[in-house]
Amino acid sequence: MGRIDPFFFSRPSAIIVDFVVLFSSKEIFPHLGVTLYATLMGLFLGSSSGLVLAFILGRFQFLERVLDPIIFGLYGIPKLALGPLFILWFGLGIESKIFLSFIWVFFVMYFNAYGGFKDVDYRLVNSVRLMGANEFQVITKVVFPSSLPWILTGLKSGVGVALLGTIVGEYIGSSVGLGNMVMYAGNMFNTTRVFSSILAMTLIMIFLNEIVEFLEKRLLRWRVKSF
Amino acid sequence: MFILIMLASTNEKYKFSLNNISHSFNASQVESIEVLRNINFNVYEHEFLALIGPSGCGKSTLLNIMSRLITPNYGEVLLDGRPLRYITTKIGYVSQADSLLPWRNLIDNVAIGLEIKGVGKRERRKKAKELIARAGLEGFEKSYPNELSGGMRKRADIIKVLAIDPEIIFMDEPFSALDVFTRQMLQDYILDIWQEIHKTIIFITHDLTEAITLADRILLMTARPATIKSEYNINLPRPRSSFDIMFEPQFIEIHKTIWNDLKEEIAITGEGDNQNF
Ligand SMILES: Nc1ncnc2c1ncn2[C@@H]1O[C@H](COP(=O)(O)OP(=O)(O)OP(=O)(O)O)[C@@H](O)[C@H]1O
Ligand SMILES: [Mg+2]
Repeated sequence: MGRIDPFFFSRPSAIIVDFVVLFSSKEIFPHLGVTLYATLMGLFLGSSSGLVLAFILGRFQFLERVLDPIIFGLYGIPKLALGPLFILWFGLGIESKIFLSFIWVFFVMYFNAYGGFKDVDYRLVNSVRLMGANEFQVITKVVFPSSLPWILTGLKSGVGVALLGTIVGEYIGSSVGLGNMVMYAGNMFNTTRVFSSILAMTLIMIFLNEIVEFLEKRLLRWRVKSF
Repeated sequence: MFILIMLASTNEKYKFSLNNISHSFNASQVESIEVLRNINFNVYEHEFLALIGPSGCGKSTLLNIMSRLITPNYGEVLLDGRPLRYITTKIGYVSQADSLLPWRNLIDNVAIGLEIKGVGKRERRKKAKELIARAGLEGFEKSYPNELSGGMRKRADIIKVLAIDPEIIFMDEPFSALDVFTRQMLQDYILDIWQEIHKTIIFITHDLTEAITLADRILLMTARPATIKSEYNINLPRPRSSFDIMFEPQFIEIHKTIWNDLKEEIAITGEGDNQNF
């Protein structure tokens, strides 16, 4: 009692050793590469389409009234349940993972960016209009800079769900990738490997998050830190 | 027809004319608030005109109509004798709310009008820098709006408009949120600017002392639905100083006269507000 069973939890030293071996034997690289690629693709496609749709719906009230409830309804579908469907549609290859990741990121970015576009202060828009700004200038000089904090928040949460979508996709059915590695190790009762794979995912997460935070620091210098 | 043409030509000597402006806002599907009722007045070129009226009577709405941010339900605005149909950079509008873009530093905020016009970066920054220096804000070029005080932001709002060199400047209660000392300082700043560039200025305030200090003429608006109640010419000598002017006997006298006139309107607004609750 009071002792942690290494069968279930492994030992930190064993995990570190396994982690190093994974790299020195180059065994992890194909998995890492595929997962990273699918994550970044999902992130890119999901955030750009979420951003574009949010922008369009923000501009056209009619589309907004029609589509926003539909998008919200679709958002309610558990993405996890869609995984097997996507694998059926796109096969066991990387496409199904990218798609799952894309869908997940899309919603996250859509809701954030939409909030951002709706939050633009009309008084600031008027002030540049009065200075002679055309529609395009209003968008580039007010709408986007004003929504940027929201968009970056969307990107930040997007990073998390992009990786999640990819891993879940790989877990459901794949031959390669970190999700596949975890599943395989789990089936083999190789707890150490499960944890070293999780460590690898955590590091990817930290790495991607650092990039977004760097962007945030550069782009949002004008914001006051309230806490 | 002939009468219309004659009217149009007589209007040409005015910089700005408002003819029969009326406006209501839809508060809901069924209810609407009548804000302006049959407003008529003219503004002369180079004139410093102050509009004064009780809170909520429709002063900002009137300026929004005069700048074409809002299309009035009824009536016509003429600029240089021609109907105003679009927003124009002939008018510089210092609005009631802060209008500096929070993500731009001071110099880029001041230069925004020139940037929109397509003036090159070096040139517009040079001009902005000059204006910043003259407004006593040098050293803050790289500061963001949230790093500036209220008085500094208001000055920035004003020079931002001066940068595009408009023919007419609208100012909507620019100093109402500031303390007395800052306000007097900025009043002198406005008096100096006006003395120098001599543009047409339309200045909204609900501070009577401020209106008398600055203006050539004061129009008094009634409580909602607002109309022009009366007009006062202020013949105090220029150049003026916001501090010294308060002790002129003529100042005190005119203050008293207008105050009696204004008092009635404020009483009406007060009653109106009570009825709402
Ligand atoms: N867009 C709008 N929709 C509906 N009502 C409006 C709108 N803008 C102003 N109003 C109403 O019109 C009236 C006049 O507003 P306005 O802002 O012009 O007053 P004001 O004289 O500038 O007041 P203040 O001195 O407080 O600035 C107010 O009762 C306000 O509630
Ligand atoms: Mg107002």
